[in-house]
Amino acid sequence: MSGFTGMDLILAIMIPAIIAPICFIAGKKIGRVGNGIMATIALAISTLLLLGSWNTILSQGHVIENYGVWIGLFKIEAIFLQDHLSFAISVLIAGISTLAAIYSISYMSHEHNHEIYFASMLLFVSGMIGVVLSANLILFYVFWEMMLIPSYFLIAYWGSGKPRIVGMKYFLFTHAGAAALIFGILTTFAVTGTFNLLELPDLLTGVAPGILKGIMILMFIGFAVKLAIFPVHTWLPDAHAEAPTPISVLLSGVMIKTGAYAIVRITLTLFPSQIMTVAYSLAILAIITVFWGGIMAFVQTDLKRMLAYSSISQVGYILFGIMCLNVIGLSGGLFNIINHGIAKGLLFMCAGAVIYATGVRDMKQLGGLASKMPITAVATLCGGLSIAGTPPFAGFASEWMIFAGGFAAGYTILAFLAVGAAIITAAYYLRMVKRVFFGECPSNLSNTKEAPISMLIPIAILTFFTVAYGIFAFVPLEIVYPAAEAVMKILVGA
Amino acid sequence: MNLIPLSYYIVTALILYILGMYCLAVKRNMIKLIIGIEILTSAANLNFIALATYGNPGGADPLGHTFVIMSIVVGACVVAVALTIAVHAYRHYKTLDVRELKRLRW
Amino acid sequence: MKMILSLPIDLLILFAILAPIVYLLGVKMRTRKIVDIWAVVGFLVSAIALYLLYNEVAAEGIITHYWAGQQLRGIAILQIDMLSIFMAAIFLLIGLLTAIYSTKYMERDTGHAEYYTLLLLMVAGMIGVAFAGDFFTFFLFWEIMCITSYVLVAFRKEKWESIEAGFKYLIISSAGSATVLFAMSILYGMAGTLNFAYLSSTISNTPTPWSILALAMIVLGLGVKAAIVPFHTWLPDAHPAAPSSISAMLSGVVIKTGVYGLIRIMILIFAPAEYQWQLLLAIFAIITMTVGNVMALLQNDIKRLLAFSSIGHIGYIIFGLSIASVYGLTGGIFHIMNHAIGKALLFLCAGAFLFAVESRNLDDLAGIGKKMKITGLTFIIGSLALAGIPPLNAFQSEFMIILAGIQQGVTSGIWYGLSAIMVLNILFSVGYYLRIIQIIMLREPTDLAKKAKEAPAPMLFSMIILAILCIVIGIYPGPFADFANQAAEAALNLDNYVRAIVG
Repeated sequence: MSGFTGMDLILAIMIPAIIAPICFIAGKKIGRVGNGIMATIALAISTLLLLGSWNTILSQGHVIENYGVWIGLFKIEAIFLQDHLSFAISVLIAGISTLAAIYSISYMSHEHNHEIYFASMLLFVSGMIGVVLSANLILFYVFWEMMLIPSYFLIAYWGSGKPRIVGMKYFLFTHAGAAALIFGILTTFAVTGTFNLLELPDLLTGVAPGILKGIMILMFIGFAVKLAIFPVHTWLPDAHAEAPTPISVLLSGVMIKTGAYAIVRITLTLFPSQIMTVAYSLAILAIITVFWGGIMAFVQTDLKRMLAYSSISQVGYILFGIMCLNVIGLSGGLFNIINHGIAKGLLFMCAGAVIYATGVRDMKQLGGLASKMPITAVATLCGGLSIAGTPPFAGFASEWMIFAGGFAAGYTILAFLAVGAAIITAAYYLRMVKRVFFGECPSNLSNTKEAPISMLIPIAILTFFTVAYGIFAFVPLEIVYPAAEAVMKILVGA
Repeated sequence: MNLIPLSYYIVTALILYILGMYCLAVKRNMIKLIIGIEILTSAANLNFIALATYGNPGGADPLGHTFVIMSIVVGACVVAVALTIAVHAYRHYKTLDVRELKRLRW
Repeated sequence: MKMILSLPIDLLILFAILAPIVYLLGVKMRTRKIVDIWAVVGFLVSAIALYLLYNEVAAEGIITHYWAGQQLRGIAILQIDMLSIFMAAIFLLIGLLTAIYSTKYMERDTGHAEYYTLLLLMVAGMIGVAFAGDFFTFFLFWEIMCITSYVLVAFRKEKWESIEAGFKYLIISSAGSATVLFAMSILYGMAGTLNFAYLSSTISNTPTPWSILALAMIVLGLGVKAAIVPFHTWLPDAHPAAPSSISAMLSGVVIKTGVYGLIRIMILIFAPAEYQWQLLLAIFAIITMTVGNVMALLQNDIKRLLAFSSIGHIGYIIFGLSIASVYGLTGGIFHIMNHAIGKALLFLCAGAFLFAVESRNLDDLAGIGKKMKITGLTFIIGSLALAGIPPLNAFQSEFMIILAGIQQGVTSGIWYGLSAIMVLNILFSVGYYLRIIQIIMLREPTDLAKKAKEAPAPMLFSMIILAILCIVIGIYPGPFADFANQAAEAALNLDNYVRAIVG
């Protein structure tokens, strides 16, 4: 451990959290645009701070910031860790959030109480970054719940449809998962006497395998709810579809990925020999999730609900990649976290742009918008193709790696099924693009205009990354491949 | 000396205690409920006095008596408050029957 | 310099006695507010005295003081350790904030002189209970607290609800007190003294049928005050019926004196190793929390809902106590503090809503948070805190309690199951906290709620302080948890406690 290395990580977490109350207090004075700019700047600073530690990670493998004892009674230390794995996810979170904040400025112009909106959003992002960076289970849990509360209010206050019921469902589901998680965490402490993620792997080796398996299952339930694995996925379509679009971007694009991150970071590294015994069953579960999400997405007519179900399907791919338990599958899974985050964020933003411009979200009532909203149309096509795994977009590389991982792990049938599911994905995305942007334009939509520029900027940026990460796939792979290797080293050792 | 055995007192005190509880559980008149409280306190007081005397053959332990005197004073305060509330209840409902006071859910 | 160790209590009683005179002076000088300020000053001065006392206790560990002058077998003694200081600090904090809140809240009521006298005396009684070193002192202060709280519940004597609830509270609670009294007489008969330390050295190691009867009676008697199910029936009536500031006191701290009594007496006099009461008490705790949480979900009256939720939280605290390990007790004691802060905050918020629209019905209050933004925000913070959501305060203590339960569960499986039930309970309780948040904050305002105005400054002040405490303890629990830990260590350190008297 290399002493005190600066305060980048804690600042990256704290700056949004500190700006949030300022946003709230000053909100009425500076108005919606002022609020949005403030949030964007805060999140951009976070992103830069997180990016800033790349050199250190490259040279030393990780950055550790230890702020000493937080709760003396249990010797809980405030430790933050950034290595390849958390670097990839945390930068993704902060980056997408920054774009979502820009996007919100125009998108939320019809809404009220912007000061609370932006404050909640900042707290939400702060919680997500905290989850990814904390190297202490209690701290992890605190941030885990900290992202729940603001996101609940964001859904229940600004959501569409029946937001309060949807919000309640979201809250209770995720909180139930969190209860299982905290039970697992506390049992871990009861048998080892520490919450420190860096010390736990050594201490856990002496514990009876039965207890370890119990802890692992409890924790996995908590993560699976967040990741929306079948059969605990039912909160996701409602929450993601009814949330205001920038929040859907955050929920679908990045928040559910914290579940995947946690599975890799905690389940895989703390319980390597236990996970091996259940990996195949979990891979089957992943494939069920893929199909369930894909088929449900296929039958939706609501634009955002279809995207939400598509997220479930993609999450299945991610879990499948992780459960291959080999370097290629794992890095494919991690790569897909990034790609899906970008592409799904992009698609939600495009859907939001369509809804913003037309006020309609039922695909049957849309059509022929390609000429009216050319940029959105192109971006949607890129996003959809990327998720469907079409070259040269980013999704191709990651899905190909996941399939390769599946074959390498010996899950031949499952891997074939996964490949087959990609066809469903392509089908519903192409159908969506066709229905929304081609065909005949309904007469009431003939005056539709392209979305405002502040919504198009984030869309353009994300489109760029979707294409760029497809062509230059080695750039993100340089980050996720060492992460997967490091995890595999532990798995092979066990 | 031919004292009544201590156990008699204790048994009496216990019977009084049970009687008081019975009174609280069964009676419906506010004044009778207050009397029930008094019986409970008396049971404890009797026990104290008996134990104070038997603990010190030939004399009485001042501690027990001190405690009983204080307990009586405190009991008087409680009864005073209880009667005040009963008076207000009577003014309000024109009855002392607690069954009439059923707007609260028990 | 040797200070008078009963100073915090003495000052409160002094201020209480002088309050009517001050009120009369105020009437003469045409400034009725003066008695309100007098009460606030009383709490502040007492808090300073308590701080001085804290320093002394921190230096010496445990201090004793014969308040009657006579050194008679450890009778009439104050024995103050960290646990006493901890409890007294919570009592004074909530008392102070309630007094500040009352300056505005009680404006529409008459009888300010009586109100503040009773409030000051009630806090004096509670601190006395926490300081007591023998049953004589304990009982005396206990009854001071009880009698004042009876009157305060029935304070608005022109309303049927206050009278009924007050009477019910009085009957059930004084039956509990009489039961404790009976238990004391049995202990007195066995040991010939009423000092905790002497009792500890004679009774704690030898369970006899009589001492077990005494234990049962004490659990019953104090359980009534602490509202352990099935002795809780008075609470959901009495707490809502009182003025909201008093509800905050009752739910926040008065029931905690019952818990304090249980902690002190059961650990000191009935040693858990000999009497084996842990599992039985834990089952009581589980029933208590389950009943409280289930009933809270069914309520439509905001204060009644909060009262039932108090029963649920008492269950958590008792569960922590029943584990009887350092962590469990620390968690329990810490939760006493966190629940006091959170529940006082919620009752004060409910009072602010009541003050604004004169209704406690949740259907009338729908959407009121949109009109009373600051009150609404503090209400959200309080609800989330009590729902056990990190990073707010109650989470910190709840996880300690569960952790202690799980640690016990590593050796005996049943504790694992009980801890799991507690986790389920916390999960379940989120349901109704979320429900009140949604009703208060997210619904469209009703006609009644639309007329609501933001609460006046003194009320907001108390609420904001409590809300900030919720957040601060949640984010940086270190010093508070350490304080609770010291209190728990002091409670478990029997040798020290006994040696201070017996020698």
